[in-house]
Amino acid sequence: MRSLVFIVAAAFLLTPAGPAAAAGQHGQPELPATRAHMPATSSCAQCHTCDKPTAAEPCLVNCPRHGGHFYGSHDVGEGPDVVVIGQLANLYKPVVFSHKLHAVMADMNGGCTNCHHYSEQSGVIPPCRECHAVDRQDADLSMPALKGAYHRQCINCHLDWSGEGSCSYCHEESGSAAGAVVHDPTDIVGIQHPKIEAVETYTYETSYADGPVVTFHHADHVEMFGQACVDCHQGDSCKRCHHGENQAAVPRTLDHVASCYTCHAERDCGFCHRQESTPRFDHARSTGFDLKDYHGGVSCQTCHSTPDHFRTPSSRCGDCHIHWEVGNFDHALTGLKLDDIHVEVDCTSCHAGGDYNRTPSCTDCHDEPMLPKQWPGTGPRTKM
Amino acid sequence: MVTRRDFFKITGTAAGTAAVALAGVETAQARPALDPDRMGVLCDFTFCIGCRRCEYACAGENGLPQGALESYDDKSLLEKTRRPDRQTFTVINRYPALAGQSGSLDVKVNCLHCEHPACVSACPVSALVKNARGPVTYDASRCIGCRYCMVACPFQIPAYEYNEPLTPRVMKCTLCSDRILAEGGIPACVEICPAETMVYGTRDALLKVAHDRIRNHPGRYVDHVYGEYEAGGTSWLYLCDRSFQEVDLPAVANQSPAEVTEAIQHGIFRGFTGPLMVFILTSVILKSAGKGPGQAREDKHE
Amino acid sequence: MSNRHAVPFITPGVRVLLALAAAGLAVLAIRLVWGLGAVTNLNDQYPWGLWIGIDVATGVALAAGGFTTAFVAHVLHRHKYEVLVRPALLTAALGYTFVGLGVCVDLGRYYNIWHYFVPGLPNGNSALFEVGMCVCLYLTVLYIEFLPIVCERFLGRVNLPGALRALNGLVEGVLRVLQRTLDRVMTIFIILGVVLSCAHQSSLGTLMVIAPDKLHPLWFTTILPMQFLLSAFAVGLAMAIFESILASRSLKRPLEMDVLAPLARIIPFLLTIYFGSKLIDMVNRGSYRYLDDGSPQSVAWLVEVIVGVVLPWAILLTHRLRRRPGWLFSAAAMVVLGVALNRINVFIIGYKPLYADGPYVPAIPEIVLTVGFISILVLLYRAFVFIFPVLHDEGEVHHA
Repeated sequence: MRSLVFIVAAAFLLTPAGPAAAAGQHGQPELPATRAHMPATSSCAQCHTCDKPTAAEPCLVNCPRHGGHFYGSHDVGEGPDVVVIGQLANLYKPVVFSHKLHAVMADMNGGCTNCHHYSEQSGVIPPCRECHAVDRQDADLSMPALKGAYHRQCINCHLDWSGEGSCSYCHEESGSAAGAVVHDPTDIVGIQHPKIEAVETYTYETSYADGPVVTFHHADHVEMFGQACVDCHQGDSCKRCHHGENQAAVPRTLDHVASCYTCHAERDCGFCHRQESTPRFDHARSTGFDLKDYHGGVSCQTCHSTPDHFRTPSSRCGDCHIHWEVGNFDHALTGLKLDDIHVEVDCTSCHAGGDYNRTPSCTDCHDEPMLPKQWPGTGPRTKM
Repeated sequence: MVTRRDFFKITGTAAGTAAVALAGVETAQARPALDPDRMGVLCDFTFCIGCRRCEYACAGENGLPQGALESYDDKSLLEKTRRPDRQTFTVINRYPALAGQSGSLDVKVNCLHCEHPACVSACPVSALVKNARGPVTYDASRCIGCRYCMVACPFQIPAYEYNEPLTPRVMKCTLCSDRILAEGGIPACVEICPAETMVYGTRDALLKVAHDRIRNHPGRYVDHVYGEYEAGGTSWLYLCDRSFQEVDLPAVANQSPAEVTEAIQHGIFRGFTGPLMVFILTSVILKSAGKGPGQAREDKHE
Repeated sequence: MSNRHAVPFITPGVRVLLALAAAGLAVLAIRLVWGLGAVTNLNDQYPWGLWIGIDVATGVALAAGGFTTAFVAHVLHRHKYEVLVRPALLTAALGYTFVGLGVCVDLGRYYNIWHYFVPGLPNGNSALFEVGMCVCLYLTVLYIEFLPIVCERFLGRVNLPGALRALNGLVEGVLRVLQRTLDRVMTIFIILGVVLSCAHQSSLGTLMVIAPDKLHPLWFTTILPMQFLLSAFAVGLAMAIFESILASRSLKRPLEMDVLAPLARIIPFLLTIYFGSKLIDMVNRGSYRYLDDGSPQSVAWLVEVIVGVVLPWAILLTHRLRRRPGWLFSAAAMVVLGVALNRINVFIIGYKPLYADGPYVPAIPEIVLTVGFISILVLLYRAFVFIFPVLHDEGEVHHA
């Protein structure tokens, strides 16, 4: 998973002062640590349900699930990028949880305590399993076991958020070879995000005297060049768009997106910086090769194998369509349905030298020029 | 004709014989005490994600028609209100989110295993029995197929195999009694639930957990543990974010309907005082009416 | 014995009844081979339908004539009513036999009915157990009560065919002893019949008390057992009058108006108590507010009360009308209809399951079987009347 940190423990859920922590603290003669978070006026009954709590049975009341015992502030970048949850992986492969992504999203509303309902006073967030029993049978009835805790944490939000609740959304079955998780977990805007309506063309005024105008056709890059959002917007903050009512929108800077150089490294300044805005990409105008109807629907990669290496292919049909020969090319597609005699004739007999752009010469076979009075078949009297 | 002495001798003997012969029935009226540590299930609808894995596990556990696991991913079924039937002991129904809130509510429907079950009280041949540990179990070999249990159930749960000509059964959740009555087992639906919507434990402990949840999350729940008192209390306890009637759970009295019928039955038949009194009264009328002026007056009627 | 009667056994009406009976038996065969689902519209919401509502509940109510006439004639010593006792007894015996059969047809596992008598299984808390047990015992009592009629029919007339001729004397002797014994103990069985009838007529009402949220409030009350018993008293006498007039007409015998009219005088009194308990209970529970909601239940309740109680009450209290066979018959029929309707209302129309998609409507085969069973019952009644001295013969005096 590229350069991401793999941690085999997740760190969200926890109850107030779970059994483990409580046992340690209450074993001591005085109650130093727990006193601090309790108002001096509070009674024992505020936290304990029985009269005489013991280390073995602290009989603690349930903590409020949200906004409870959580200390300190944490920066979004502080946590791990990705957490692999594998403690319970028997039926399924470990779940790859994009912590960073969720942290960024949480930062917009609610913060860490959306999930982390407990931290030690030092601010350290213990792993879920410290309180939530792995084995259901050992679980305290008042809190879910580890599996339930994880599931509630994820599924309830995801159902609200996107209505997505199927197992395979997070889990890949242990036995299956095919990867169920098809999305890039680091793709902020790539996962289950409603379609973002972008402006078709951005025109920038720059201070570069030789070419102050930079035209960026966003639509071309998405629709024509097949760029995914994450290809440019990786690391972009949700806050770019989801800023609060009272917060100013984060101004758009080149830092937010991958630089144009990532793809256009070999281009000079003038490729972007012009005296005036440029129209959207047009194959015929820019390259001299009109795609016409035949090539209009063909993806760029079919002819230009890789985006960063735009080799210019030959404009000669035969250089690409090497498999075309008599019998497997439907000549009617060109608008001319060859008659019974000509359909048997070798392609190069008419198209001399394999140049299919040139109008064939009838005189190669016939003594008199037949065209345009007579055609070697039926169809619109149009030049190919 | 029968003499007066003969009459009382015969009637007395008959009454005595009837009382002795039916005394065995009388003993069946005592209800066995429930185990203080009897088990139950707390089902918190607010955690249910509608994955229908409980339906899958239930079908497998009870030998009911079970589709492939993937077939339970069909969420369209959640949209129509279903009821448990002869092939499904538990179903999940989906209800729309409350106004101003996100997320729908999924509700699990199955036998609630009443503390004082009307079906058990109704069954004439003890085919349905309340186990002291919690489950209401059914013994098809005892059943005569009268379906009075279905009439009696205040939650309308039992289903019937009407198309079975010879061995139809009453079909309902068993609380996985085979599993839980063996040490350490938990009901199949509770076990499979990924969100731990259900907690299995002693009823007393679950009631405490339920009330703790309500107290600790006042906005999340209505202050009502369904099944704590309904129909005299049930083994299944429900928590919900809205009135239980909005999720089609009936507003039943806190008293088991069986309390009333049993009071009537016991009032009339305890010690056979009712029938004996009618017997004696009729005998006295028979003897005295014959001697009274009624006979003489009779022919003057009309 | 057809010489005792002025009409032949087979009439066009009887042919129709035979056809209906055959159709009913055909449905029975289908039910036995393919199950309840094949012939009924019963489902998980409506576990009880026509067969319980009519064959059983209504059947038990209409067979109440057996114990009510016996009570009036034998217990109250109004001996002139004894002419009605035997027909009512026959109706009750046949009626209860068919109640038992009707139950068995409806039971999913009818072959387990003997579990009622297996130690450890009977559940004394169950009103249905009480009903079943009492019906069983009462049926036995009814058969015993009918035995003297059998004795009377054959005593001195035993004429076994062929080789069995030698046994004639023995059978005569047995019948004589039987008759003498029965004569001594019959009082006990009459009283037992009254006790058992009171017990199960009321318990039949207890059945629905266990479903407070399903039975419509117009009928649901914890005093339903008492109302069932009170209505059984009234319908018992009405049924005796109804069938007496019907049998007399059918067999072209003179009407027993001098007996029927005075008996009919008791009915308004019983109806008053019954209706009073209904009204007081209605006011007490405030259920009258359901009367004007236009629901099928409210209409059914009004029909039940107006046709079954108010109209016959008015007719029977009018001296002039009570003496006229047509009016008397109509009034008796209305009481019968009213109580039958009450049972149907309690068990079918007023039964509102919690999650029903629509109302229960009986399937055609269900109706055919019920009609078939009633036809068989009527045919058997006719046959018994032809064979045994059930109906009062002019100048003949029955034993007490």
